[in-house]
Amino acid sequence: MPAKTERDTPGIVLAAGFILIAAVFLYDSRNLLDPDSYVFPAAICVVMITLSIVFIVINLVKPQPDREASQSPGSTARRVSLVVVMLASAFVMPYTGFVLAGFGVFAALTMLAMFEPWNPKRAALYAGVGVAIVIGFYVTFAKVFLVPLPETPFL
Amino acid sequence: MSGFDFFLAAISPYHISIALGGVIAGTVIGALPGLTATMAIAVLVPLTFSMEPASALILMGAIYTGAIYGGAYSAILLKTPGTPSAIATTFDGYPMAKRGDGDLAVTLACLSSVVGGLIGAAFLLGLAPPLANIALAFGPVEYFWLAIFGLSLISALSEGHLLKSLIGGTFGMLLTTIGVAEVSADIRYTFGSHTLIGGIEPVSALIGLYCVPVLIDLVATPGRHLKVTAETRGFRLPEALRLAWRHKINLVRSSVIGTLVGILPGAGGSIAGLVAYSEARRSSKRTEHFGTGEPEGLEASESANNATVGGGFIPTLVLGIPGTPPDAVILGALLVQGIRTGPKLFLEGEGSIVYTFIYGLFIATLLMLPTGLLIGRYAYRFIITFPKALLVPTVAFMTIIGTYAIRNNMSDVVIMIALGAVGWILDRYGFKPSPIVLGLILSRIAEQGFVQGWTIGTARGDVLAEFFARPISMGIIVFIAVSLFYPVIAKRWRLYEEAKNAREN
Repeated sequence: MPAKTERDTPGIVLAAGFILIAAVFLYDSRNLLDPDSYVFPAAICVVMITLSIVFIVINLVKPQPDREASQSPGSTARRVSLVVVMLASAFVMPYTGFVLAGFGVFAALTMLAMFEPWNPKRAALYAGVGVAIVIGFYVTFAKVFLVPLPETPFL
Repeated sequence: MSGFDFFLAAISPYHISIALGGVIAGTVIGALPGLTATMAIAVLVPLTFSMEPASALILMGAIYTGAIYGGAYSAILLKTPGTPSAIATTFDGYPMAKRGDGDLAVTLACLSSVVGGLIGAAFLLGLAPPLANIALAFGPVEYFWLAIFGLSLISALSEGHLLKSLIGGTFGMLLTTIGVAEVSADIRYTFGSHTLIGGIEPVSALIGLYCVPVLIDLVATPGRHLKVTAETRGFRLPEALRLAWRHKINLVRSSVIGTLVGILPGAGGSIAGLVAYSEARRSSKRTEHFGTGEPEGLEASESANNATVGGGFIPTLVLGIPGTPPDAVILGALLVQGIRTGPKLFLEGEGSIVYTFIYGLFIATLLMLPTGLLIGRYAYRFIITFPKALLVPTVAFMTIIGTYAIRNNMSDVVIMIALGAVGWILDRYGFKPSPIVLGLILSRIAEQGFVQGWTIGTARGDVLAEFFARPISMGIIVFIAVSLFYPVIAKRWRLYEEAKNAREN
């Protein structure tokens, strides 16, 4: 049986997005006066646009054999929440300090990644491990490696 | 003093203990994503100021070699290169861990690192001055072509999506152009955003592209991170030794590639690993298995990146030009010690420091075997038994703090997380992260070489000759062509042979 062929619609959309990105970069190159600043990125943009156009044309004219799209089983809400929590921690950390934000992000991500039922013993154990890890990282980076982590008067 | 006296000085209990301490410290620091070998040495370098120069060099060499090896742990177990040198280790190391062979992968990485480290040190001992002169023959254009050679690996990583991978590679290169221009120092493509002025830091970007998608998938399903096997299999050392012996040519070739790339100032372990991986894939009989957990790929990457340690010391000690970024820190520490690097450092009477150090580097590399196996075993057991509800926040926390620590900049953390989310979406639709990372890592070297070559060529009135008519450039271009088209040619040749045999039968 011949292989089923199908247009790679998400791929075409993303390739169009790459063309748009490259076009924006090319357009912004007008502001650069020194050729040393734009000759290389402009060359990359041209290559990127060309490759994307070739990809789109090939997919429109001669659809490729259908490849199984990578499946992503599981909870989308948890995925989105993970990114939101991590981003929130980066925005909050300068105001709350590293340790407080660390406790918050650790607790939030522990709950997000938990698929088993909670009980008091497990909650206490995980909380203890979380505190130890956050404090451990703080001491290692701030005191040993002398990384100036965000700090507040509280912590 | 004779060579034997230098050797005796290197194996004194004091030197062995500082080499051991350096290897352990380097391995642990290198295993943390975001903490590079350069940072490991920079952090620990004040310890060396009160030491004798040879002892200081041994400690720094041991930290360096340990850190390069340590990067393999997170590359294999978390798909996040602990250091940029371990990028190519993720290609086959992580698939091995996913199928339940993480213990074998860690042991094999340790063996390969030791072989690479020993071969690099042997080159340093025997061929330092002549090899340093070869490095001087490389101009900007040669560096440009070397970076393109690294990028040609995209064809090997394309997994049947060559066009998508090439687009991904150009996307990675374009991302690197954001911020301060490599040659002219113009601020470009920031679109008025203060967050983007500092540009996209390659290490934080690769942490995002590799690690955040793993976390995104980890948090979504209740299954375990890596396959857990019921039986205890120990280090699987005999199995790893058999594999290493079977692939001995690959190991030696990759180590030599690593040494030679290490000699080139600024090239570093990431390019060495990628070039060696590409070459191993090209010459292997199991080409189609690369990227799915092929031990040869892991061996190539790990032996090459550790060979850059010895290779990088060649221009550092002979010419005073750092071969790799960590060598620049070591060079600074040597200046603090009052040591002037140069060919005289190797001469009779003044050679005690450098030869004691080289033998010390041999000792440190050998010490990496027991320490690496032990640390690796516990790292593996830890990762597979640690509850997911604690593993996810721990790794997420490591990525945040590791990224922040690179430049003490929270913008890098935001960019890292955003790139990770974008990388996860792109990956779902066939735009794999590895070509993007290759573009990110190699773009700076490529741009510097391209712009300088273009400027020189323009001044000479013949840009094409500048890029295509120099002997070393032509040699590298041939390698690029072979690397890009060999899989297609080999496939066609095999089909032709099969058809011919069928006709004859």
